[in-house]
Amino acid sequence: MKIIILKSNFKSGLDAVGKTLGVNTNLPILSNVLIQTENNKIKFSTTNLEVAVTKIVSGKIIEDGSLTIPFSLLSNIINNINTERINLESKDNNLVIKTDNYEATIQGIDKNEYPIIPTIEGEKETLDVKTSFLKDGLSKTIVAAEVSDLRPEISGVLFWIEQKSFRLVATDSFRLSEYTFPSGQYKNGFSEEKKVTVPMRTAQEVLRIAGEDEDLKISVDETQILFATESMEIISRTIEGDFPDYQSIIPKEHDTRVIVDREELINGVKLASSFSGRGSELTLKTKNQKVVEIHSSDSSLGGNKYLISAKIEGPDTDIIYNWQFLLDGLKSDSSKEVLLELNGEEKPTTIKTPSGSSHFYILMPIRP
Amino acid sequence: MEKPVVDSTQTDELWTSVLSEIELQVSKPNFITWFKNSKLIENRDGVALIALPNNFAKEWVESKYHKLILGSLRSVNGSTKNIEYVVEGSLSQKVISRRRRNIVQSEPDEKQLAFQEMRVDPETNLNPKYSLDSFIVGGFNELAYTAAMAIVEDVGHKYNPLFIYGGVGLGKTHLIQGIGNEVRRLSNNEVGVKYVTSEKFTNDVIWAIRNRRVEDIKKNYRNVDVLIIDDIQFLGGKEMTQQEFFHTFNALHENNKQIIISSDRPPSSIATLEERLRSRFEGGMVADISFPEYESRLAIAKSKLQDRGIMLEDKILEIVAKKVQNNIREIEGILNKLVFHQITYKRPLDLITAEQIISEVTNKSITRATPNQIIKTVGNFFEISPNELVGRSRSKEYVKPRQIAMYLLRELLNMSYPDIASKVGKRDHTTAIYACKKVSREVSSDNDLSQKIIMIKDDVNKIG
Repeated sequence: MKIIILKSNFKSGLDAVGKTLGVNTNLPILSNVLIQTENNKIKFSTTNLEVAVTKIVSGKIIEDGSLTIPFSLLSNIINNINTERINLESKDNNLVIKTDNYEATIQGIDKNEYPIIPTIEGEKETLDVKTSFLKDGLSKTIVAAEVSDLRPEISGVLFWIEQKSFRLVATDSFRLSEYTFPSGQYKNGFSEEKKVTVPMRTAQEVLRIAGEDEDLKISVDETQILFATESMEIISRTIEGDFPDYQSIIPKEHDTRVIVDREELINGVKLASSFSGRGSELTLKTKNQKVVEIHSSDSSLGGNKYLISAKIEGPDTDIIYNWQFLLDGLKSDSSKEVLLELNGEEKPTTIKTPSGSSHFYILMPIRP
Repeated sequence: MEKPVVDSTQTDELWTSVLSEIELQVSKPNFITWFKNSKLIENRDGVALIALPNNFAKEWVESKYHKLILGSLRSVNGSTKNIEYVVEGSLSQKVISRRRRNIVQSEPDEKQLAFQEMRVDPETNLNPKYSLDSFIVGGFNELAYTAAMAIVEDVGHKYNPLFIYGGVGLGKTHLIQGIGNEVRRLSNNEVGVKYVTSEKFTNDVIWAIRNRRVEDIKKNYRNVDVLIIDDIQFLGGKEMTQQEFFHTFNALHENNKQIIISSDRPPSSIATLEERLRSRFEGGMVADISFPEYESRLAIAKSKLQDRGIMLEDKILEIVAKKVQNNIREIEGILNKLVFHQITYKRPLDLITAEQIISEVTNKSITRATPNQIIKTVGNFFEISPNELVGRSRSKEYVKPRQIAMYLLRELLNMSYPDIASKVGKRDHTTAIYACKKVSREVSSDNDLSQKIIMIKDDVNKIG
């Protein structure tokens, strides 16, 4: 292999794949990055055997080839080199890096010892969506996913693709977020319904790496999902086990409707959080159909109260929430006003935008 | 003839010896990375099916070790000619931990409530809220409850299958899931239980057939000690699903594995149910749950209130118990409304307001079906065509449904007698009057008839 690559491209390649290295001490080659040339492009790949990320950048290919190199060593060098043009050449199993004033030789390992990155075979059907739309949907839902492995079937984001709808859903059993893509934002090429749960790590990588405005194709087989654009490919296992049937969780009715300025409410929650003590509790109260009051207190810290004027329909009510969960819901959208549908102190609260958009967040309160 | 389920210990042993050969030929790190968590699923007709925990392992093993494995297999079992590789995610070790990853999140308050519906145990599909402890027993469900308790004490050997039927909202699901939960509790989660709705079973069968993974059905539904299946009437008319259920039933029954079934009607009343299934259902214990009597309704209302830690005047509960006669779920719904009212207005609920709320709810059941739909539904129930129902024939098999149809048109749609008579075969209005009076009289004395009417009403409500 003999290539010339710009530092910025090199960095972009390494940054993209840097978080999916394997920490498997049984197979040290997993902490290497695979560099290979294909179709006149340079590809960087890493994998931890659950997900594999490949970043595709441009460069000048003088001779095709491939090699795997210890990632952290390579990354350290590239971050500190200060010339733009970098020459890479593989000699036996070593990588030689040359610039105008610098030369390094790194011992690498042959590509044949590196795991084979799986593909989705034969599946020609894809769902096409722009990266910006997918990232929007993902960022609104991923916050609600289960973080630990206690319940693996919800430790990710559900991608639910039906003939007439495409949804993302995530929950940790305390809150649930669902995002429905407007039909103009995607093209569904699947002939059958697909319901796959994408591990949270993978969803985070998609959010982190996918470009701003590229065409992205999603393909799926029984055990994997592939996100592909011109400049990257992420292939990941999907989570075994069915995502719980969550439709019955969505409240069909509500007692009190509150419309309030979103930023103000976020502000109030942030202020209240300082006094919420160990339980992370804050109380949201509606008063006289006109005012929302947020208060929190802790015996060792003190207390505070924040008032916001609001449009309220329905009886006054008093609900305790985990402030972080509430904040996550409020921040997951950006409309000026936010609509809260309250159902009393023990039933789920729904957070939406008043125009009834494609996204909602449901949150369970804390028992009084 | 059904092929016997492959003895898994044989294949496990075979795989163990193959692995020990491979271990000698492959470096330790490679062996651990690629072969740990691998499994030989079956070795049949010359083809060995090997499962690996993820796609990376599959790609690697298939491309680098195929010849080695084949050679090893053949030296132990000469008939193997080829190997197929599949991925089974369930083989990868599940690391149970509360890894926080990079997210700063404080431990949820222990008073943080969780979605009710998600407390279901993913392995058994049982909802912990359905316990036998919270099941109120009365004359109306005593038989079913006694059978349930007997099963809990001697799983698989007492009453097998147990077939429980009854109308909507009377506690069938509560009871059958309760059996499951109790069996799990008493055996410390050792006994394998699986609860499934007939709808899910049907969907699974269809999926398996479409994707040629019928082995999955066998695996999921036969490797249990107790199979609980809800709303079996749903299988009526679904040939392939009934076929698969028949095989599942036999496989379990032969091995003394407990089968518990619920339905909204007795086996004899499920239209288009295969005779061989019907006879098997009737061959076990069939127990009905009928409508709770006043005392039971009162006890249920009290118990539900107690669960919520709320107090309502006894007199109010008595009215609820008196007015809501046919459905426990309705009792719960009304209690919710009453309790909400009390909480919202922060005053103990008074009798008059309570009565108002209750009558609002109980008067709400207006049917949205059309006369033709009702006639069609009655026809379906008795397996006769609408034409025959409204036709001229006076033979008993048509007269009975005809009269019931007229009774329902009066009860549900409050049609006038001339209208009813005209709709049901252009008859005389006196015929309609006679029919409605007759059925009305019989309903109060004939339990079987009244059950049938309830079932038909349910079917009608499902149309709206």
